[in-house]
Amino acid sequence: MTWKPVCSTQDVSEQTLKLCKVDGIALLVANVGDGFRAYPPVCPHMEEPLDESGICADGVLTCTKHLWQWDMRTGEAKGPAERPILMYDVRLDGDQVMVNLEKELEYDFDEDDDDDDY
Amino acid sequence: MNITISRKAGEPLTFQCRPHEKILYAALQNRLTVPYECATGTCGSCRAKLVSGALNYGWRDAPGLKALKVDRGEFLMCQCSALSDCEIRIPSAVSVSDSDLATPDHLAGTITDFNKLTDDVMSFCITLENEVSFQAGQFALLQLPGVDGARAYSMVNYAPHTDRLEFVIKQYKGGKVSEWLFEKSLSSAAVTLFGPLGHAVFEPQLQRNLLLLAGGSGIAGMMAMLQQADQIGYLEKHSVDLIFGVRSSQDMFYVTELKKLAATYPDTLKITIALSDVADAVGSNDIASDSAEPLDKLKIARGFVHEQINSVRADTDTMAFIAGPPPMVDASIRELVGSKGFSAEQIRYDKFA
Repeated sequence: MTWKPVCSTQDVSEQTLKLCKVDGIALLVANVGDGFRAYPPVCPHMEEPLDESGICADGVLTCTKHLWQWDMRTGEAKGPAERPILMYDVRLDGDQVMVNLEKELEYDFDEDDDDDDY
Repeated sequence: MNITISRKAGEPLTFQCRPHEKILYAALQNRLTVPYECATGTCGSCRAKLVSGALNYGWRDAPGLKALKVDRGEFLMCQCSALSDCEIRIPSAVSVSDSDLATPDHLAGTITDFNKLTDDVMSFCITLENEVSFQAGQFALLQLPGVDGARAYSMVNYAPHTDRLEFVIKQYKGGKVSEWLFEKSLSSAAVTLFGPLGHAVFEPQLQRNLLLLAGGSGIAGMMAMLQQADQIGYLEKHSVDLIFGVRSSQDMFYVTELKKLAATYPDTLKITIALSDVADAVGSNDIASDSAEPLDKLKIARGFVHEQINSVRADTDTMAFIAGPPPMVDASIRELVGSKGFSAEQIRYDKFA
């Protein structure tokens, strides 16, 4: 486990996202009200930067590009979304949001040519 | 040529594609539910991956290619034609459509009736050789003689079957199609269209109240929806809010048509024209007196379209349609989802890039 402090709980107000960068890894921290979550910073559909295109409401994260949506707590796909959103392990250390950055989470946009996203 | 789509779930789907035919067009003519939005190389939605075979790549600088991994064989179906039999993959589920939407096809017609609506907006009509059916909100791809590439325009008029399609176009400096239309204004030129296309359509059978958000020439499809709603008595039973955004009072168009509709349905139809240009800082009464005709039931508001959303009638039964430049569409979606609690199912949009 490689837990790293990414931001303070005060930095992310309820139902919003904050783009953070730790050790060269960019991630999105979300305040879901009763806790925090951390996702890779891009939409799993077409790699849209979710800090710009993402909007949070009632525990649902929506990418305004094509209306893909996810349950902010579980990462599950909702509505037209065809893939879930990946989530890092998150814990709180006082008012520090700690994220397990052992491995950068990335979507398979066919980098390895295995057609996994097709 | 045969194009075969390999699928994770289900047998491969094979369809015929003529030489020089865009693969997207051929797939749609075969009623396949392949993903697309703009169909003109900009949005990147119709990306696919070539497994085997050879392609003519068409427009190499298409903006939609930016997000694609071309070196991995990814391509835009709206730009590429086949040079041999091809096997391709598509990153979403594809099947044969069972929707009621008309199957798109190539349409031949004559361009007529140019009508300047403002300094930089005009309407024109295309009289087709054969009648077509389409849904209000759909668009067609216009191919002009001597101009590379197709451009998408939404139909302004609506009729269940018609051989006359009306469009509206905004003039862009350096835009080849708008220059062709604005400068040459050739009457009776022969043109071809491919359509009808688009999923952001008015479905009266859903019996929803409507929220129509239009930026500039994005009003086109909304005019068709209002025309159909008027024809079938929809506005007698359902509320419709239209917000039409333009820069200034000089840029308003379709005012006569909108005024007439607003006067016919004073209880159900609310029309707001949002003027974004703060330099045009006069009160709504001044605008009314400045304008060539009184605005009657039309409300004038200051600011962008999305800034007017908080004052519209909307609930979980409302269906929102959005058409306009991408920043306007994105800001409106943000407002609807973030502030008005709209679900994805309640939003249909067309981004003109």
